[in-house]
Amino acid sequence: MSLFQNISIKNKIVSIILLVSTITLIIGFIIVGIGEIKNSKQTMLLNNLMNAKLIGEYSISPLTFDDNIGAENVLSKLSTNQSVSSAALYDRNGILFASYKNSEDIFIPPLLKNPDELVVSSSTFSKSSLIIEHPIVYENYKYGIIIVHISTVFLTQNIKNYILILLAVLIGMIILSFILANRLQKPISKPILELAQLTRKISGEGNYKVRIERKSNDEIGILYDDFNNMLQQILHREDARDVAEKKLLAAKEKAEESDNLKSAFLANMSHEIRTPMNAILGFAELITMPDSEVTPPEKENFIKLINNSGNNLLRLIDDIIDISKIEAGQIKIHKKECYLNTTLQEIQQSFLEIRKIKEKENIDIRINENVRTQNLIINTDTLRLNQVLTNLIDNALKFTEDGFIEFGYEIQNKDKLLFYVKDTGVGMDQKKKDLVFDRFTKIEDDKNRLYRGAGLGLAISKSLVELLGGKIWVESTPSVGSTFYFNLPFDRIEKAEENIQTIDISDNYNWENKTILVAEDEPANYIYIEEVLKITKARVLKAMNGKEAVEIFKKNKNIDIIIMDIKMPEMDGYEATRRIKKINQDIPIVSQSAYAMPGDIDKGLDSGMNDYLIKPVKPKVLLSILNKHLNRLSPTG
Amino acid sequence: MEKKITTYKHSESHIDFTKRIVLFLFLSLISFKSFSQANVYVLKAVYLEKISRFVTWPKESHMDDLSKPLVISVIGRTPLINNLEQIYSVKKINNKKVIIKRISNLYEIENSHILFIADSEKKNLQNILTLTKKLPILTVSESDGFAAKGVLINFYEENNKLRFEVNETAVLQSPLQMSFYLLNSAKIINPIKDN
Repeated sequence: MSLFQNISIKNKIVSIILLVSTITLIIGFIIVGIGEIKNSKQTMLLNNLMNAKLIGEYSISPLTFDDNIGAENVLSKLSTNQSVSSAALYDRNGILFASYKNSEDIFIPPLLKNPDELVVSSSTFSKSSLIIEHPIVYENYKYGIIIVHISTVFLTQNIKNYILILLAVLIGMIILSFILANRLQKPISKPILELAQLTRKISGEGNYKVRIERKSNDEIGILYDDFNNMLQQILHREDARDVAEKKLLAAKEKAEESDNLKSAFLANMSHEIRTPMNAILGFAELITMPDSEVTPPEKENFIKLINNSGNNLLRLIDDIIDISKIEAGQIKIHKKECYLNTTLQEIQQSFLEIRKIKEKENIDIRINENVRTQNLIINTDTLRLNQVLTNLIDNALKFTEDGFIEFGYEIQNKDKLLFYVKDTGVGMDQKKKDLVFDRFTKIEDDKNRLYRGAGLGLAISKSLVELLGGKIWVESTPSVGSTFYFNLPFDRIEKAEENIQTIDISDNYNWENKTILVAEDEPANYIYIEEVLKITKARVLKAMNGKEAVEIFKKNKNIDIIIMDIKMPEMDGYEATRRIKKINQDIPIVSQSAYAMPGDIDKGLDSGMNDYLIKPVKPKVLLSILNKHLNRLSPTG
Repeated sequence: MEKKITTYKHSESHIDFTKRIVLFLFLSLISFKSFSQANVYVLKAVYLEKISRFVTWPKESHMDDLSKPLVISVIGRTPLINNLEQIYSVKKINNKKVIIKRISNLYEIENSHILFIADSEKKNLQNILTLTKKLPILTVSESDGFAAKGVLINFYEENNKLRFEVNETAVLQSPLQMSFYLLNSAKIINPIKDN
């Protein structure tokens, strides 16, 4: 059986067919052969018996009338049958009467039996001959006995020939069945061999796109279908794996890139933080040195420089926080009505201040005339719009030495509002324009670094504009100037032009009869606020924590406004605000905190705070905010 | 077939078994050995019985009725008559008793089954044959030319052997029927012409 297992399917089928057909043929031929041998023996016997009987009949009269010659004449008729070797006619007494032999060598024996014992014809097959003994009887009278010897050599020869023919036919049949089996096994073995070949090819080449063509509807057809399905599944899996691999690769590259960026960022930040720090700490130490010979005008200059550096540092930190928030997807857009004219004017005002500080008063900072004639109110996030414009103008200021900076907006179409900031600065070439909105990209001169900055402002602007639903781009000509454009959805709000809030930027507030409660646990910060408020002549009450603030508020009914820190011991600003608002819904509460995350602002507004100031709070901003709320209260208060 | 033979064997009673053996031995002796003139007549007498086996007489001859004897008539002078009387005193023909009649008058032949015509009746042969022609009588003779003239069976000798001739045309014309086995050993005179 193991031998059978080791041969190919083709040979298995062929050998099975061959085995079956050979066995069948052999059995068939044996049956036919035996039948034929028996049949020819029987035929021989019957023929010779008939001959013996006929010869016997013909011998009746010679026997009767003692005619030996006649009898021999009759017997000689047997010579036509060559297989008859001899025949003997005995009379009724058993005496040899006449005989025939086809060869001289044959000896005719006398009758060895009692003639009366032989009453029926009998036949005996001996080794090489058939002996027929037949009593000759007519009309109940016995005339004699005829004994015929027939050689079976012919019969044996015939049988031998017959068997030879059968064998030849058998071999022919086996050869035929071998040829047929070889042909007919193909529909079974061929598809299996094809499948095997294909499988080998697939495993060799790793090509799973190959399909095997189904040719039949039998089990092999089903096998083909299943095989194709399997290939399909493998292909799917391969594709999915490739996709996942690509994604992983991309993610890896991104991770590596961001890792590189972070390293660059850290190096950059370190530099950018240390630079203003150097000025702040250096000048501060110069001023406070006990035996310094700093003259008062120099001192004033130093303080200005410290202030300047501090502002730079603050902006840097703001930028860092913004970019990280943008990256983390934490920036939230709070859309509400935005008075464009007011916003732009505020920006202009603040930059006129900055220009002074930066000693670039030769640069004209102006708003497009269009702004003055139109009073658009749109639905957008004012804070973020302000930030974008501030960044762009700041950037323009940085790269402009002479000329002007103009900004403004115009209606692009009914859906878009186009803002722009135009300068007459150094400008940039195409290559730099492509990179300008990327993080940490800075315009660098080959020789020296002219321009300070972390390179975050434009990246932040781009992200913010996109968050607001717009697009930002730049047009620039080197040495002529650059124009930054961005558009926003023109989501116009029709509103009657009620008293437009123009920020009173006068430094002179007089709140002689006002009471302001300041909740602040940090003494330095409290002192700062107290100093700022000193010039307004307002009465200032101090609370060391939220709980105390609530207590004081309960005792003093004449408090006009509360400045609330968030992070305080015992009770935080949120809780305190909530409690105070329970007592008096109308009391304005302005929070001020170093928490600068958007969630914190939301939380504050939720607790009932009216406005939100982020530390460091500039004196002018604090005063202006307080003024806004105090003025609103004035009719009631 | 076997049964019949058995019956036959037993019908031959053992009483005359010895007699039969003696006779057979005797007959065999004359058949195969010397052939004298005297023995020829014995042989002829025996042959009559043998020939009778292959001849069928018509119904009116009453061959089936074993109570009635078979009549052999002898016309003319011949030594055969003694042999016939001697042999058929014992031997039967077709299981019938045999009576030997010597006749001189032709009219006596009428009830005969076999008529032996001696050589002496040569001149009278036509008359005899005219009479027997239509009768169921087997005519037998022993002279040259008799068969050609119309005798049914005529004995003759050849190579020291007794043989007989048969006038086939005469047999066909007579009411008798003769078996093929008889004709097989006989010399045929006047064969039946095909037409």
